[in-house]
Amino acid sequence: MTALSVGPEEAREALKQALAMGCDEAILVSDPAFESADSLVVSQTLAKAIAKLGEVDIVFFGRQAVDSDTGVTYAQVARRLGWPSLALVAAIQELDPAAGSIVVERMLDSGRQVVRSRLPAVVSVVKEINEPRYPSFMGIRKASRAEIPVWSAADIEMAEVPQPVLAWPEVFAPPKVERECEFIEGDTPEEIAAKLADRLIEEKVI
Amino acid sequence: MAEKIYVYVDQELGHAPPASWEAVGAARTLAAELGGSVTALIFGEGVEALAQQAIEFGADEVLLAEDAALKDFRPEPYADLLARLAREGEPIALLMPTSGRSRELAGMVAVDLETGVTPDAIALEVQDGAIVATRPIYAGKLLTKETCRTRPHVLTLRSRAFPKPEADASRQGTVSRVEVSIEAAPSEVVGYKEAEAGVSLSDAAVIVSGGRGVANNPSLTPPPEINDEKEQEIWRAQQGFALIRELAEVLGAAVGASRAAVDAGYIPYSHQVGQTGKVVSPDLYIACGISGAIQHLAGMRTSKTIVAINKDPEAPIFKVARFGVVGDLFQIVPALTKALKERLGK
Repeated sequence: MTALSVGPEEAREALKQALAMGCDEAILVSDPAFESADSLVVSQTLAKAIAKLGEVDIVFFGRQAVDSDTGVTYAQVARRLGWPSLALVAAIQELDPAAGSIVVERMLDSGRQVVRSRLPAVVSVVKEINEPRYPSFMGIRKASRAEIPVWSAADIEMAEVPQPVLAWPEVFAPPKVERECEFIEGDTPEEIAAKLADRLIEEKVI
Repeated sequence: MAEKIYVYVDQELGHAPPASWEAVGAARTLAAELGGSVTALIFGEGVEALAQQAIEFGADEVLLAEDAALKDFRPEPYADLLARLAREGEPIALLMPTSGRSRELAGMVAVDLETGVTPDAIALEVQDGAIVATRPIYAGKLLTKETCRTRPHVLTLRSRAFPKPEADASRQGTVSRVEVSIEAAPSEVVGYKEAEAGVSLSDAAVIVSGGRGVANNPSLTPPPEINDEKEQEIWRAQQGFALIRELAEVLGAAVGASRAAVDAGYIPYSHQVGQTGKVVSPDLYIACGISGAIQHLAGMRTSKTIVAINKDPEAPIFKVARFGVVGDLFQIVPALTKALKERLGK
């Protein structure tokens, strides 16, 4: 099991955590050329790095990044690799690497699809998939000593990193909504509830 | 040049969520500003009825692809078809409602067309003939405006961020059937599990949510056969959520939950509202026993009216609330259910 990340030096900390939790090795893909990368570039970078790793059965992704909230990278990596994309997986029912097959439950708005797919595949998971384990003492010791190799753009045969197609010229704080909370008070819960219900109806909320 | 705006009409089992029609409406607005037309793309099996609906909601043209192989959503054949149609039609933009499926599809199509994807946009405008999309980042703490220098700009639109257009039965449009040839897909759908009955969170006009506080009713005594402390807590929480469900029922509302409540095992993840759950924007959001952590606010702060019921007057949820009650939810919620029942004649 290999932990892989594209990012600046700081991403090393996340990879160390992955090692402490039980990953066998970690690789950081980092290059100044990736600094303004959009999802097209990141997905290409990851796909090239995965190809360089060689024999891979499954690539797991989280649902979305906590900063950019994009949530499309797994699908883009799957597309670039030409592997099936299994998105928002809540459970793995069967896994048979020898037969090259996997059965997963993927979350949809109205329920769950049970999907059988061939391997290799790209899987993005939702939190129901499991409880993350705690790093073990041995794991933390191992992680602190581990050498994490850094692959540059050239190392993964991206001689030219494409320019991003998306531009985000403006980043700004959402307009402050001056919302004064109207506290509903009363002597009994019934009185408070009645006042609240009346206010909601007066304001045409319901 | 007359620009084309393409809209992918997301549907499941022949039913399109309101967000699909909101996307058609947003496309209509863009088409008016750019001087162009709206094309709706509908894929599935037995989904012809949606084509007429798309026209009534504002499409000038519908490209309808019906095939047994498109019955179940699978990303690969859907993406192949969508990319092919986009190559043929060369639209300036491809709009979709935000859902788990369409995010996946949008990402894939963007790779095929080597173009940019802006997920979960909340506003669109036209500047110098180009589309500028606003979307939240960092859990809604910041907004960014994005432009794309390649065509089409692929966008998914947040549910309820754009008004749903009025259906107009007199609108005219053309429906063209698209030829479908599907290669063997790498995956097959072998089963389906329906979600529990109830109103879908993403489309709900009213949501009643519970947080960690729903387990804190001291006046309840768990039955003696439950002696594990954790199980007792969950039992208490379930009694709390029963009150929330009763209120939701009176309002025809969906039931939501905070991450804390889901992590504690009180209610399944499919109810979670927040950055790592569903992002919702109802007309009315009633938060019961939810403190208002940033991750929860990210999922509901754009609700039109927020009502917060919490014991702690300092809870951050009150900072986004229009109406607040500092009190015991186990007393307030049932009283509110009763008061609303009387007033709404139920």
